[in-house]
Amino acid sequence: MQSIANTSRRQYRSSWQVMPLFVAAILLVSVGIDAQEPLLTNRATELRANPDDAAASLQSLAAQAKVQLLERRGAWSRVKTDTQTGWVRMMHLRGGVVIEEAQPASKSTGGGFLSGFNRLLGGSPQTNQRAQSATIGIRGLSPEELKTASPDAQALSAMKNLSSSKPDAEKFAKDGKLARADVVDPGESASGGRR
Amino acid sequence: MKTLFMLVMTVATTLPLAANAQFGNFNLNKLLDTAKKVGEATKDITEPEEINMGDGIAAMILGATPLHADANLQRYVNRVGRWVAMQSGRPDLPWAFGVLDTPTVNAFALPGGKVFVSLGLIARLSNEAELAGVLAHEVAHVMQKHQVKAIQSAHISGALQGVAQAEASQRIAQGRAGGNVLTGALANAAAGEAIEFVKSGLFLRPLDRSLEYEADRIGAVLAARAGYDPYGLVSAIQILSGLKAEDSGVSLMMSTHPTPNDRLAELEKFTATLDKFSTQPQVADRFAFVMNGVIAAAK
Repeated sequence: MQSIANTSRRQYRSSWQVMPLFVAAILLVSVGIDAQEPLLTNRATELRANPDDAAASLQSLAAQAKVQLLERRGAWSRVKTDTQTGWVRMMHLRGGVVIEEAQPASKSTGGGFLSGFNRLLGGSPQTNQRAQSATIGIRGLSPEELKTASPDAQALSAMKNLSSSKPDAEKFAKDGKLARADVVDPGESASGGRR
Repeated sequence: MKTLFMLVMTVATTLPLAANAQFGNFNLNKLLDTAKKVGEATKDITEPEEINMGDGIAAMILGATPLHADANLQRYVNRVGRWVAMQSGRPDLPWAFGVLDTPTVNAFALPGGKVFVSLGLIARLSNEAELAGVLAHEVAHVMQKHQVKAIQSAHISGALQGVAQAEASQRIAQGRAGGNVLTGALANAAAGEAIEFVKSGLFLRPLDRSLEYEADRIGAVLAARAGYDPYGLVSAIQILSGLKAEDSGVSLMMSTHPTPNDRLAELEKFTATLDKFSTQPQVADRFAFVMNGVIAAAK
């Protein structure tokens, strides 16, 4: 992660002010989900040597088999079972496992940047706490808060000022090596979608 | 013509209801006023009105939850979102994407092209293709005008409640809502109505499940058109499938959407048709750079 960050920092130099975000970091500790939850197979499936239906099967997995996500490539996820590593069709995997035991965050490859935010707090990213109580009193998006809010026109204006123009977005896409693709909407006739 | 028909039908059904349930003394003027409001509600909402409505709701959301202070993150999300929106049927709306500074997990699309995503959601993602997938789902809601239609239908049922609603609308038209004097960009009837829409709690009513599935399908397509791995959205929903619905930070999102597992099952019906685009970039490095910047700034 660090090496990526260093490389990227050179590559994407920023002129914008980055403001201190202690509050944001502290708020994130209350997020109730940790990064170490494994995935479950939602049907019997094969653990394959490569991300390809034609690749050799390393192991037959029963439904509800627990695996750890390592990487995703297109329609395939590279996962670790109790005994080995291989590829499973990502559509055959679901979240939803609750781990009760503590696990170090550093072992995780899933969970996005949550562990990074947790580590900032110098606390214990190991605990799989679902700190519901910690969310009390936090400004958020609860129905009550939305109903009783006063409209903030200034913040709206600030948001608009940060928006991106079409030429700006085009350049951004080019920088990311993103090329427009001609993709047909498979439900187009039903929904009246484009093309 | 369709509007007129609906108006006539609505008045016909409203008359006994309003007279019996709400007003002991039948009052023709008030009833006509109600009918007028219903007529206004059913007429097509113009694009400028739609944008004003979105502004009103956006201002309410921002009144409840602040924008995240990292301008770098905000601009990044805007670029991803705008690029995706440019592949939609409505590329020229005044699109604006806002990251809300909250650990809760949610994303909203508003009429007219305002989109919010929470930091709690973004922090769970691993690459730009997943973010693009999430934003594309929201862009799809705007493209298909799902929220506009929901507001219209809520407005109609609101008008059916009779004069109290009509009077509220009158106040809003005068630029006031709930004691807050609306100024500047929000001093218009559409924004005022939208603010009432949020205050009434109607905004939090879930869209029909079929609309969520449609937004998932179109979202995956838009992300693929934008050059991203279309499985980014699938991956993001798979991440959501690992969250506990009863956690307070997730409950609002879960209560307004079909379960992640149901969404994945629906997506699976057609993802094979997108497989040939699955080697398109995930853009993990740029996403990591921005997120590490947010983390570093907080140290």
